[in-house]
Amino acid sequence: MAATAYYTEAFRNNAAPDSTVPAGAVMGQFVQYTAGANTYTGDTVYLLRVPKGAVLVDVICQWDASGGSGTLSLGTCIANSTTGLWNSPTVVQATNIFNVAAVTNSAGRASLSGGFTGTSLLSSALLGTTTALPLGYKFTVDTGLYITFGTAAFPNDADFYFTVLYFMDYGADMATDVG
Amino acid sequence: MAATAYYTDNYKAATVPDGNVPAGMLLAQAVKFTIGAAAYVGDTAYLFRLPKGAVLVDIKAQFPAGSSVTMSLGTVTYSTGATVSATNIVNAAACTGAGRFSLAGGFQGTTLVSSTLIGGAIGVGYKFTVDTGILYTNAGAALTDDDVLYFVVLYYMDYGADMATDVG
Repeated sequence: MAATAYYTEAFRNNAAPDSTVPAGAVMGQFVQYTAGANTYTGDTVYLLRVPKGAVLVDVICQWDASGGSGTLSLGTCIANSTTGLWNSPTVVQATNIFNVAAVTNSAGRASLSGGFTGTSLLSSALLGTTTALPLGYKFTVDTGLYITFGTAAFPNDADFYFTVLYFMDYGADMATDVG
Repeated sequence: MAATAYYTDNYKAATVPDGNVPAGMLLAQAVKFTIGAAAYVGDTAYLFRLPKGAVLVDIKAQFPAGSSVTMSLGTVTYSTGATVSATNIVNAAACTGAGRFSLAGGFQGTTLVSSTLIGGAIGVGYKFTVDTGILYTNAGAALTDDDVLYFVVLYYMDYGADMATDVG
């Protein structure tokens, strides 16, 4: 079976999340994804979108046991570079937030501050390197977050939960370099 | 070379972050600290300013690997520039491997950062009674040129005793 792309309603909607909110106020979005069948290698789930100017505070996620040597990546995408639509987005990078975090047959949880599967820590290398999309990253265009399943399948009805936290920064005043 | 103090423009500005926001609304500030040259023992970076009445929810950090590096986070009384303590939030956490931490825990490489290093006198729920700066101090061996550290602070404003109260 070929890999399948799944979309939340919010993701496909062409109205972007509200970005006219007070600078610095922390905003959140949440998605629960329940696998409708065993997942296959390369299946993707397009979860949620954050507006241009959003500064990433955290991504908090929780997953069920995979039943095998499952892996899970979290990356970013933008609206289709030709059509401008979100129903076939253009990939920025599939692994720039979580890089094939091994979730080997154990339930686990992760945030940008760390994570675990079973009783094993996920290394920093799996949670995005410092050259990838880091804590405090400011999105310069409307951006989507999506997961990619790898290796073995998660079973039917496996649940995945994702919350993204961010704040809006309309200038250079909130997310500044030290120098 | 003597230790150097670095400041964000935001930190040096004469105005504190807006404190006139709804009580309890979660607020955040982010800072990216790029090492401009090899960091030396005692180098400091003044990262954030929090208004009087801010209640600390979390501080998140992400850092690269460095040989025998330790980092501390402390506080400064903004009006005087006096250091309250250089280690009252994070006390010399060893950061020899790339890692991350928050006030809920953390790791470097695949080793946990112990609770004794995170959360000193100022931890989750601490309410600042004066405008306060958050200070980073580098210790141990040097980070290298172009290493990048990331910090996010989360807090809310409490104008009375209604939001952050003791049980009892």
